[in-house]
Amino acid sequence: MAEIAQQLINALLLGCTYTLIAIGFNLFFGALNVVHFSHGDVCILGAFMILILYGVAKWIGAIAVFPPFLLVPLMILIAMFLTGLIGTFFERVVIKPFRYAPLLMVLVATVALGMVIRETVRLSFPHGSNPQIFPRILPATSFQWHGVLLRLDNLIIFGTTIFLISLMFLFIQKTRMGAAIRAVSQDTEAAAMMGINIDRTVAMTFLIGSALGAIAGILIGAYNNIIRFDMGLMGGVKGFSAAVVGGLGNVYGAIIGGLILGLVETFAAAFIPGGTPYTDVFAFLVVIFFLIFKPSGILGEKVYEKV
Amino acid sequence: MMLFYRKPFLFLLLSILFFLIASNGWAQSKVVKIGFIGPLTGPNAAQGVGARNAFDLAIREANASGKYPYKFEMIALDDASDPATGVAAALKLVSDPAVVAASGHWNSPVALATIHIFHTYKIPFIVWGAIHPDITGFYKYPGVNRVAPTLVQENGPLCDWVIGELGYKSFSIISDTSSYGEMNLKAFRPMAEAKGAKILSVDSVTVGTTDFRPILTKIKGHNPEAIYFGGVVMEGALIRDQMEKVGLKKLFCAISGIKDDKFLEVAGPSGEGVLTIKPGRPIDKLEGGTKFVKAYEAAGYREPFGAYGPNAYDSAGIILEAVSKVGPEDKGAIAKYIRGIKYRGLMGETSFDATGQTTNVMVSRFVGQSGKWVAWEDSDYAKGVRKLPK
Amino acid sequence: MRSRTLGRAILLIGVETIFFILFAAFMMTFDTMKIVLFILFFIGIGLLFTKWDRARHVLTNLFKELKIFASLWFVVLLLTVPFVFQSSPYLIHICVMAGLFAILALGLNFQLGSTNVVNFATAASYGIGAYASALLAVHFHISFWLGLLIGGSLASLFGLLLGIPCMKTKDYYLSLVTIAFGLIIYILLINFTWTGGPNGIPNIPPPSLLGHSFKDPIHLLGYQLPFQSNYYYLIFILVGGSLVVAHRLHHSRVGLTWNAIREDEIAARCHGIDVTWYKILAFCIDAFFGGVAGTVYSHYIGFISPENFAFIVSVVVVTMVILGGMDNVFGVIMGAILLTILPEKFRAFEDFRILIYGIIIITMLRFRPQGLFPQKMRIYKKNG
Repeated sequence: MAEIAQQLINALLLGCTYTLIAIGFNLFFGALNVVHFSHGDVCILGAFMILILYGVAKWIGAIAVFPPFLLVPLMILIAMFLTGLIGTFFERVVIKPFRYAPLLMVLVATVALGMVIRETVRLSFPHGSNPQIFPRILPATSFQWHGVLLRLDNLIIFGTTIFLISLMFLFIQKTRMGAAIRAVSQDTEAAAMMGINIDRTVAMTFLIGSALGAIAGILIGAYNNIIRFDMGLMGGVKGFSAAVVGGLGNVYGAIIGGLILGLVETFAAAFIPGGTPYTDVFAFLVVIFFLIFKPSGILGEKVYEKV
Repeated sequence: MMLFYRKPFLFLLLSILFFLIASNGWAQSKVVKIGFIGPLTGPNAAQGVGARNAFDLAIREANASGKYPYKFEMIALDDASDPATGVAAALKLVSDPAVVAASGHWNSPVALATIHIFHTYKIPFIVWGAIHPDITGFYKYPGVNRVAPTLVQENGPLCDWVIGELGYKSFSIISDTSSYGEMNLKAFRPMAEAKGAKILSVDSVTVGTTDFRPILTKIKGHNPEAIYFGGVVMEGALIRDQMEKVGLKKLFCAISGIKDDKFLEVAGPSGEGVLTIKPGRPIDKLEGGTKFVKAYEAAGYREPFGAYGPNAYDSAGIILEAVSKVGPEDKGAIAKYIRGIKYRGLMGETSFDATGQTTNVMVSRFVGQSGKWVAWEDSDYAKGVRKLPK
Repeated sequence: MRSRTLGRAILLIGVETIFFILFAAFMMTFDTMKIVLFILFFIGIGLLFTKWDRARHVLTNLFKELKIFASLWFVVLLLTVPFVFQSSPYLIHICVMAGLFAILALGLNFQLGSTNVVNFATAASYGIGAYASALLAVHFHISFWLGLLIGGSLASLFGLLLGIPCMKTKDYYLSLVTIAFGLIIYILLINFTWTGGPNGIPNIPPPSLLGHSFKDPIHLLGYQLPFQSNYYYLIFILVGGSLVVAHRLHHSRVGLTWNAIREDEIAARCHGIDVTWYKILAFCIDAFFGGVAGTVYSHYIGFISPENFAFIVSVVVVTMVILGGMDNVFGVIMGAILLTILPEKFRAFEDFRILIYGIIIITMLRFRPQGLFPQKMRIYKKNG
């Protein structure tokens, strides 16, 4: 019993990171009908930002001066903001030029962009091909509860995810900008005619999506203690998969999709004998199963093609 | 820009380029070339670059010594840990008639792909780092030798130590699915069982995985006395760290694949009390070790020579000695000389058995203590000041 | 009149031979500085050619009129490659690899170029062909020639399997499926024990033909050609065959249908085209090409491991198609050759190879989406 509970915790945490990545995919798809295949790499970029910021903080001696509970949130905020900016920059440079081009172009271009991001990260860090040690930014306290080991860092990860997702929902539902994002995702042309600045709204979407993605990257780093340049490839594919399972374009679907993927992977590793190396295969099979039998995902609406 | 598009300008440019290309021909100087292949880029670049530097050092020293009638030149090529790239590099070496011998590879799959080429083209080849037993044991090519011990040769002493001397009797094995991990599993399991230890569970993980909590949570249910890990640094460190995080406070042991400072850096405080062994002896306890370190520093290499630097240094030494004894013309004679060599080098006396495998196997024991690898004999654990988990 | 034709033929031979010699000299250059000069030289010639209308006019007419003769002489020149590179098996190896990638790129071109289906699973069909024939050869001693067929067919079957989701999905979803399939195959290859896991399969026997093993050098006209020449000629025939197939397909109803799907899928469907069937067909043919290339690769190198078939290989092939020119058979082959030879020439920058691929893709899509050698409009002549 305790073991299953422990495994559930493992699954939940894995699901959190997938959810955070999937939300980005859903936001972009909603706003632009575009799948940003390098979003996973942008997310991991967030983790590398922390690596850089941590190095800078160490260099200027801020680590010794400020207590971690002040410094760490500050660093995370800066990393989120920077990653968000980079995300909007990529949208401008790689996605926007293809807005009226065949879909194939933006698809291949974003895959190539992912490659460029990964390689740039790899080449700009010393021994970049190897995993980089992620600073231990979360406390390591743990306590037992009915035979289940609970850790403070896991609780923080979980809490942060819930907090951020709620914040984003509030933003989208209650603010003017949020309304604009919803309008653009419903009908871009109509929104433009209502006087909504499409470019700005799209940029905002990418800012939010990439910033949330940065958190996902940071959580992956904090959870595993390391970060590797190519984690974004798998992370992106998994995040997209989670979005598809939940229903592409539906932000709530990301949560369900992320959790499903986390559960499938954890339980495949834990309860299928010899299943550990095949966790990704199980995850992908679930996704392909969804694509064949319910392409619109769990919460997605059925799309009819029009001429 | 307009000027660039003018026809006459283009003509002029083309003719200048043509003369530049055609001038000074494709002359080649007469030197004895020795090939080196290793992962100079990619994930294992640290190993490859360190070995390359040590190899280069040996050749520079040979040239500086003035003992040899030829000038030696190292041709260092990158295999990027990729068999296809390695094959192209090997072909490049054998295509060059000035190359008399070569040494290469840290990655076993690459070595397994290229040794056939060196065998076909009769170029004597010494493997400096790849540890798959088949490279020598299965193919037994007369021209292919290896200065690194195979992983099978390392698991015996580990078993003697952990099971025989320290008395751990039940194990959970985690190995990665690479050739390295698989061979470790195959070597360790029967040895451990022969010594009376119980294997409670066997799991394999893919290299590159970062989250091991599901398996570790499962292993916690088996309650083994110790975890044996057959794999390399990064996965090892993460498993060790996550063992603590799921509350699996047991002994962790592995062979030399994890013996790297990076392991302790990644594992952090949980690296305490990790047992490992390493072939050879610590560099400062080697004959000529301090001299080597000094020469290496003086030569101004930026990267550390790494775990396999001494291997590469000695394999260069072996090739140099062979070439100086039988001359650079007859490659068959070089290969023959190498197979029969008794070479006193940095790692002690190296000689090869009938399959080309080094018989020079010495291992040292290490334990992680306060963020450093400490020789077991000098450690607080051996003295009883600190206690290993049981 | 006859002497005029003769004169033109000699001019043609001269032009082709000069280009061939330049190519050979380029291949034999190892000095980075000179390689750069060479490339500038080639670019200069290209620019000159686009600017100098008269020369271009004369040459294109020449090639058009003496089309058969031109291609025959070209074939003859290509056949002499192993003689020219006789002393350097490395250079022949590069040519063989370029040929293999040309087959892969030609295969992918049916999808990416003709139909606008983005398939990131090329490496998977390549790997399936390689593993199938290697396993058969190692365990059951099935000959390479049969393995070539089986490898191709198995890969084709995989293409069919991959095509099934495309009945329901398209665009992004389909790309996700192909990426997922590619990753699945890679993970399976790494983890199955019967495929040798990460260790791969060593000791794959070389093919033999009429008692001549491909591992032995060729003795021809008093020359001894290195054993890579066997594969060079094999690849030469295979690329030639693929070229013919691709060319015929492009000019057949199937090629036209694919193009129709590319231009507007819904419109194509309205015209009664069974879009799903034609897409699956493209998947199968692509996978067959991949399987054949994989089979040759495995027997050529004699050792395969999963790394040869990782995701990046698929992206590399995509780059070749985009750089060369989507849907243009000649362009795609040029793309494959360029992207095989140049990285070998710039080995010192090996670390930047993939980064440069990425940049090439984005730049090409942005500024020259038709590729270096754009596909011409289909021209239909009235016959009679």
